[in-house]
Amino acid sequence: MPVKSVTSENFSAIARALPPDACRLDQVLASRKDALPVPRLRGKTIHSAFDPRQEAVRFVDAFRQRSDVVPGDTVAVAGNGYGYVAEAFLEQGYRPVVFEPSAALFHGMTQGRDMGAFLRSVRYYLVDDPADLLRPGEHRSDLASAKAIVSLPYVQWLFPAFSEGLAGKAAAIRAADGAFYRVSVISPLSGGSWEIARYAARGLAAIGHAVDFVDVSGFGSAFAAIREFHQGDKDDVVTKGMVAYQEWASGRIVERVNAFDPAVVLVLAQAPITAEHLRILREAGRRVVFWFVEDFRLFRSWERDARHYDLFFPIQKGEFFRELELCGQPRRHYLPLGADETIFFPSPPSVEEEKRFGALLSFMGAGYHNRRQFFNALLGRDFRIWGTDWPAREPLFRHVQEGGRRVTAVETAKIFNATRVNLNLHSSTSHEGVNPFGDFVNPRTFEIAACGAFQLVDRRALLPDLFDEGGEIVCFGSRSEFHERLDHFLEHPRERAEISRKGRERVLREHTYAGRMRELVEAVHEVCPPEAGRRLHPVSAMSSRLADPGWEKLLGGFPGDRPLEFDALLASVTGGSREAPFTRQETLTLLLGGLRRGDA
Amino acid sequence: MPDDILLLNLTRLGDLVQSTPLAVGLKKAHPGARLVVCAQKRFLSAAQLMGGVDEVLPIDYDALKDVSSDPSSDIPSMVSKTEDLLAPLLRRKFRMAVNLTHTRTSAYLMYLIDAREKSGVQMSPEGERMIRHPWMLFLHNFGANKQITPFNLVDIYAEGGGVAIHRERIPLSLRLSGAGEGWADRFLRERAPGGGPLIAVQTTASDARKMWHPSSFIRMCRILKETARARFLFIGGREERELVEKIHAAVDAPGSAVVAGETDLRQLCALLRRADLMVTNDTGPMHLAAAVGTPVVSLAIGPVYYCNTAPYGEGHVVFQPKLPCAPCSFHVRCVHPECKSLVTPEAVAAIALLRLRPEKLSPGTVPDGPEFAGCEAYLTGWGEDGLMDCLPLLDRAPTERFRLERGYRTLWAEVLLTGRRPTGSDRPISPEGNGILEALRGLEALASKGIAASNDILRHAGAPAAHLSLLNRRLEEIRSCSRSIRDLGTAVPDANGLSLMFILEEENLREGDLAGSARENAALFGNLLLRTRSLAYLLTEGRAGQIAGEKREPADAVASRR
Repeated sequence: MPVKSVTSENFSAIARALPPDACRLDQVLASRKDALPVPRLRGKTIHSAFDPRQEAVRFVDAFRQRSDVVPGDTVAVAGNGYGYVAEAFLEQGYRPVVFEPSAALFHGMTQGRDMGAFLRSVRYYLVDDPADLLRPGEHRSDLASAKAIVSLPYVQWLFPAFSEGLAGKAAAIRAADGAFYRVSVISPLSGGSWEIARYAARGLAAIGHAVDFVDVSGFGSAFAAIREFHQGDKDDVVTKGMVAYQEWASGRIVERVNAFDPAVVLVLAQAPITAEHLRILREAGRRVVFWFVEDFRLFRSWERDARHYDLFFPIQKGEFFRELELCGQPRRHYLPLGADETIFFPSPPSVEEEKRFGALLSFMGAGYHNRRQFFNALLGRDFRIWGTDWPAREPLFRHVQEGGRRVTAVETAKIFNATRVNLNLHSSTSHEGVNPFGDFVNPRTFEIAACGAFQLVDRRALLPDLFDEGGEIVCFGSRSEFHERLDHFLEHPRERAEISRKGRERVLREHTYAGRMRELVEAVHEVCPPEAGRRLHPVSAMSSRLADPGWEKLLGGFPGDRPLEFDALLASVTGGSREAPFTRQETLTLLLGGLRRGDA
Repeated sequence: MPDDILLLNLTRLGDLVQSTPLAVGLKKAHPGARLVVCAQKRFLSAAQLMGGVDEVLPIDYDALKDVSSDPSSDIPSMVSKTEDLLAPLLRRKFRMAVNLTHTRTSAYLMYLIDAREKSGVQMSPEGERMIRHPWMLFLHNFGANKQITPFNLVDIYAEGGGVAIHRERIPLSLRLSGAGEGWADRFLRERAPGGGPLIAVQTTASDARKMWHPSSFIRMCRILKETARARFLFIGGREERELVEKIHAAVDAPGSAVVAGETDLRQLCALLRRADLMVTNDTGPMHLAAAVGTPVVSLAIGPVYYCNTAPYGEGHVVFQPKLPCAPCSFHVRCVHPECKSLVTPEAVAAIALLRLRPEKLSPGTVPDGPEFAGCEAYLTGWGEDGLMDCLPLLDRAPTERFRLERGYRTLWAEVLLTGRRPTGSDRPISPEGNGILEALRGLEALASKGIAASNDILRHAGAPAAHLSLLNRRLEEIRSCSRSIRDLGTAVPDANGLSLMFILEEENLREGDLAGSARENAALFGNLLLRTRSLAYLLTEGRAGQIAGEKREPADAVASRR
């Protein structure tokens, strides 16, 4: 569940939406002095059963004596209970921001105290998992600006990891703010995750990091050739060849990485890099992290590889987290996919595009078993299928467009934009239609939403944290529900438009790759901070280090708060037309650029 | 006013030695000036040997390259390290700066150098290539058109730097002052004793493409060992010693020694001076041998062309393989360097033996033979134009290729040294004749068209706006002519000597008013027309003797000596 910013306007709705099990308190006592409500949760009395207000005052006094924080400053409070400590901070002139880990205590307070009045003075966030604190939201600026973080005693008893998590995230957000690095992104050999690697690289560049996208897809054909060459040979012969080639390819990747000298190396699923080379990269002081963007149940390479990374980013939680721990990798941070809003955005189709891509219903993706079964019911309708691996012998093939070729990202965006209802059914090799246990959310979900296009998507366990069902996205859990939703929304274009609009707003707010990469870098800062000496300095810090004042003018054309790599400076000097003579600084840049290029 | 003259020479040992006549000439022409050579730090000892030089300014070029490519460096670090490395050069003021390094990097440096006059390749304020001085344009041409720029680099450097070496010969000049002489005597006494002729052999080169096969060196040495009881000094660098020792062992000639990696430059020069002959690849020590007066037999292999970097002086011999792809471009990566096999050990040994004799060699006097089938041998000497020349040593009929080279030589010598209207330039090219003549007719037509368009612009330059479309048409015609001239030179490499000079001269035109530009263009096309016609004349009607170097003794005089 994402961090919820609770306000006087929305607290009732949030409380109502909580599942009953999550709201259960042991009991609520009346304090012996003043009969104030004092909850008990899991055997612990949350505040003083005698005088919770006095207890809170003493808490704040003790804080004031040991801290440099002065009235007027923001104090982050881990835990709120029924708000007595926050009120005490307010009375002393501080600006408390509370982070409550317990839905039950939140719910209880809405029943037992004047929550509306409280929330008019105190900023309140309901936090299910501290990891969510790195996700986009208003809480980030409050957390980053807090001069101190204090923890109520009950939090330490009942939610022992919460305080540390809160402090760690706050420190990570502050540390990563304005910190820029060189990052190498190692792509997979092929497949949809290659595009994700590219989006990740673009996302990192968009937030100011210097990125080298190491595209290893060219090596993929060699692996395929080895396999084909040894067709009919024993498996161990094929494996030997593949291993030898992987060793070679991995070595080239390391050379490329070393030449770029990044602080962080981001590897994506199925990149051909060996454990030994990962060790070499880490020993060189680089932080090597892995974004596993596949279904862990189907693609098992992580069992062998996960522990070799400094930090592991899955797109699934729960069971996968436990499995990772068993594999020796306790350092993980859930990081869902997203959309590249520079490729996926609303764009009304031209007449030609409408003709080529337009349809009442479309599906874009590979012909997995469950999809073929599910879409048979749409035979004969205005329904277009795009993508590969749809068997030509099946009746559904007549809906497959352009021979079932691979579709580019740009074309995909056009398809989404030209379709009235996009069908988004997550793949499964073992279910007929909807996978009832499906958890992660595919990239298509974000991409369709980013286009401001309408979709019907099968319900996934992790989807509610990402989109508000009914408000920002429409889901189905069965064939019958799918057809019922389809019929309804085909007849209600205004509802479609409204939901699509809100869905896009949600993507832009919380689900861009730039945002994901910001979260990734912050997570790295929390768990395995990059070496300080590898930080890139922003342009504003450069001029003071350059004795010749002429450099200030040359650098003045670049954003002061972002780093600047030499190649970008060179491109600005050599690009475009000019009228003024080359300056000394520009000529030195050309000279260095020439030497870099290998000019004599 | 600063009195310093700068020679920017960020090249290698050989080029530094080859620029000494320029240095000496400049020093003589400007006796009050201080002559400064800016050289790469790793060739500092070579630069310090140069005659005529008052000061050597070393630039750590290797460190500059490291700074430019250090991935852990940020912009301020790169800039400050670069400024530190270049400070000794860039904080100085010069009266004149001559760039002998025809590279892009040197062009940037020239822009930054504070000098009142500048010559050689440099960057214009607009960021374009700019080459001052006609001989320096020629130097740039030289890289692309080796076969049709038959001048020696020493002369090009000198003339380009403003020293009229064609009027007053200046030899290569090294400041040795007796250093290394005692060491050399001791070395020879102890390590290479004997009475037979002493031959220095350079079997390696900085570029593998320029290296003759080691097996060919071995065979050649064995022939000389057998026929002349020759002794050998195998020279080279420290890193080459292992190969050199293998060659020495295979030759197994008494009184021979390996000296690779054991000498500094002064000691090497002292040894070379004591050698009776040097047989060598085209590489730095070759020029040292020429500078100390030792006769040289050199091998123009791979990207080397015999006349461009031949040992400077009289009486040296250069072998040139006969192959359509020779010389190759520096950018070529050859997988089958056949040129190395076309110069045979027997041929080189034969010429070496001749050269060891006291009698002077003359052009066209050495009998041809099967050992020379795949190559030419050229004898260095002084041309009628006062510059160094290379003439065929073997008694064989001149080839068409040779006639073309001589034609270009005569043309450029006239154009660049005399400033006269070149011979035969007043006659239109005959409509007959194929090959190069067809290309020259093409250039003639384009040049004429360019002149007509330029003159038309001049006529209408000050006219009212009504003529604007006409002016635009003429400008487009000029641009089209330029493009076609470039294309023709690319399509017909033998004509590229003219095309590329045109292109380089055109680059030097600076934007001005319409009339001024039209006048400059008219002159540019006009020069091309004259040169094209002159070359055509020289190739078709030029008589023996009129083409420099084609003068030969009558055949009976040759026969009577055999």
